Amino acid sequence: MYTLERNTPRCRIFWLEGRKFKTNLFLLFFELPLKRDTATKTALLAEVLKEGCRHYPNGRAIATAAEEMYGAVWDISIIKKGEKQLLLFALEAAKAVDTEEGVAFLKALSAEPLVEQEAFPPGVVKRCKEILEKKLAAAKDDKQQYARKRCLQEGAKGTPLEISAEGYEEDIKEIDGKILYEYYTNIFEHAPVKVFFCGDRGEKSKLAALRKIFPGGEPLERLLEEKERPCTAAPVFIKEHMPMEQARLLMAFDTTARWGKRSYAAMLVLNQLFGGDPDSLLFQSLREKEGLCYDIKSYSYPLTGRLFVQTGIQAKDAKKSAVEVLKALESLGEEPAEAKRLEQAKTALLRQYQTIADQPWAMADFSVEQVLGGGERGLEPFLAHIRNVTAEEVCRMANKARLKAIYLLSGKEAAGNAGK
Amino acid sequence: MQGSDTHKNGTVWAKTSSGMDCYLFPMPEYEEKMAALVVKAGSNFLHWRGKDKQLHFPEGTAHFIEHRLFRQKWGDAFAAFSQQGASANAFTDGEKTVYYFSCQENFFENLRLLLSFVQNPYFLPEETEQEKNIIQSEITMYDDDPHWKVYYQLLQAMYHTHPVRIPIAGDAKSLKKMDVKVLRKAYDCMYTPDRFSLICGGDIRPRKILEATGMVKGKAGIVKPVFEREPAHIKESYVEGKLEISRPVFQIGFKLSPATQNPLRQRLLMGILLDILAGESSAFYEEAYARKYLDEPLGNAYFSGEGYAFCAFSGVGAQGKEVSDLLLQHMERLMQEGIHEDDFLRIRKKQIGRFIRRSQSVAGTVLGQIEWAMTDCTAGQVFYDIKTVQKKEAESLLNKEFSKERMVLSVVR
Repeated sequence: MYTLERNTPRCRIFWLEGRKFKTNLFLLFFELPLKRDTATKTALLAEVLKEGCRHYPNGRAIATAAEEMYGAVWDISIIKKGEKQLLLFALEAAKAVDTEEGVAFLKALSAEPLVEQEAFPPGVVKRCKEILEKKLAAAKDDKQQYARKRCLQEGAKGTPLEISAEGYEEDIKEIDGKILYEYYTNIFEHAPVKVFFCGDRGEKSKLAALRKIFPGGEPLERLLEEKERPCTAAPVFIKEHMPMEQARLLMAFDTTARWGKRSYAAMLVLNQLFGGDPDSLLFQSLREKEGLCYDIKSYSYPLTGRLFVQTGIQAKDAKKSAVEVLKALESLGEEPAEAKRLEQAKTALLRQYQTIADQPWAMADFSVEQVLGGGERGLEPFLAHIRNVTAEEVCRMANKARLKAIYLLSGKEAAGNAGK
Repeated sequence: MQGSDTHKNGTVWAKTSSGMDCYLFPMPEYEEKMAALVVKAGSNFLHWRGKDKQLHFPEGTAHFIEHRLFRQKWGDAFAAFSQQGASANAFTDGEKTVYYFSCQENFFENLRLLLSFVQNPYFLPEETEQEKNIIQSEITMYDDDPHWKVYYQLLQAMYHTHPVRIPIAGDAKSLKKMDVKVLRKAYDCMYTPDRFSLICGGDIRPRKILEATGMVKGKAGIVKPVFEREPAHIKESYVEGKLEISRPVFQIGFKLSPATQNPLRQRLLMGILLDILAGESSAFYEEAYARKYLDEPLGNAYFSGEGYAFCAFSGVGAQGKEVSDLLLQHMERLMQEGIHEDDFLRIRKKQIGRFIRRSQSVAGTVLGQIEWAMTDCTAGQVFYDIKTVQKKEAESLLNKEFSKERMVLSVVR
């Protein structure tokens, strides 16, 4: 699916076969450990760098340039992948746009920021701090998203996973243009850089220009990942309230499956059977049989062995729903799934992963996870792991899954009846 | 079968003897195959009239049918798709109900299943009752969504009678009115082959698909949907609701005349016009950002269907009123000075690029064609029209359709 094209100790460039697509996709990111003391600075950087660079001095100039490139889609954003925080520069442009032009655009945004006297311009930083502050303060407005985030925090307490990649309101104040520029300079000069290009084979050599702007040897150790700390804490039960009509129930499990190992594939198959699609146990029992909810699903968290269940229910049904979820998981651990059902789940998963070859972003996302996970095995070995999963392995995985958190977000009125 | 299309550009188009339109996109290099059956009747289709009868259905009927249609006499079609290696789903909006699946293997088995289950409703009283709980849960879920609330508030301030103002799933009151009889009667009105479009994409064989469409039987509907006449003026210019959110959301809408002549061209021109007016490279956004009214560009969309058309700009922040005033100022300036040629060409180029981007995936191609099928057009025709729309057409639309009197501001705090 992808090949490593250019390699320096710090900068690695990957190519994805994109012959059948009508656009070229460029992703460039700095790979940073998710740390509480730098998360906000990295999040603020994404805002500041979007405000302009030497070549395109403001947002309007960047937007106009992207529109001229047949409405190229671009962004500078923060992505949380496992226990890493990525500062990502992305561009997707029609193939009618020269690859060199795309490379130059990314270079301008990442390597030539607006700087005044060794600092990001104070006006820009002030405005971006306000914007980030408002965004963080509004996190509770999207109840579904907020509940997901809170459950992750509670279920992964004591590990880097609990850290928010979007930053923290209380950390914004102390950052100024000089501190932020110093931080970016350090990242720019020493952090590991990954570039993914999905396009035609003949174009990939043009990406080498990017390698030249990230010279240097091994990345600094403190800009590399932190060692994973196992979380052994007992499960927590959290109830929070805000004005809302429907309660959101989230449950976090740790299966201890490891990325790149056979156990990871077993966890994916377990997830599929548990709550991965409308034919899954949770959908069939809680929605179709019990009529407790409209939306219910389970999902795994990228690059980790964590499983989550999310649903929207009436607060009075919280206890019953949580019990039903636990029962469903227990039943998967009690006896092996019947062969037909297991095959269906595996077929659905295989299809999901095979069809990523049809979409540049999905291909890039999968490849990024493979590279970050350290396995770099490509799609085929990954699919083979899924094909080889047995019913007994799924059973064992269900038994290994430990409940880490039950999180209920509900309206105030219903809180008294929610039960524990 | 008939087939003709001046600008089909790779699309295979045919009309079956039963009256169904077929749009097929062979994409041989792709892994995924996808098929969608579009029923040109959605939540707005509440009133029907025949030769000697009139029928009225509760709000949310089309959506309720969509939920229950997967249930077949022989079992659950959802599960059957899954057993055949496909993942299936469905959605309803104001104008249409869409059933679709995607798969790699067993495409024809899944296609036959799709064409079969939409023609064989099997509504049971007990299950109909149980579905009410599930749909009520769906309605409640949306009650907590500020973007949903601000959108329906906007429509309720804009429209006097047109059912576009009613949420797709209806409400608790209309749910109570659902029973097997209602569902069956509504199904008979809406699910006639002349209202069907089949859209397939991926590594498919068009001839075999067209053969399979012989399964679609039946005749053209004998009843037609009716819509009460909607006044051109808005109902209220400002509406505000509460959800106790920390950052208000707002939408600014303009009530427009339904396109009668060339709805496709009007849709494409609107896409360009709204972007020129308020997109991220617009003078409006530059000023709104500088004044701290906005932190990010407004979203924009154009909606149209039987008897209605409107556009909406959506934003986040406490200054919805200031934003709408500024937007009007820029709109009036654009009306007086005309659109700058460079801006028009650049945004048209952007739309061309976005169309190309969308059509490079099977799902993007099929989902795109679902929209174009509503105006009986193929993707090829759309691409031709995007490339040929002219600045003066956009200016004429701007001057004819937009005015302060037809503007509504909806805010949720």
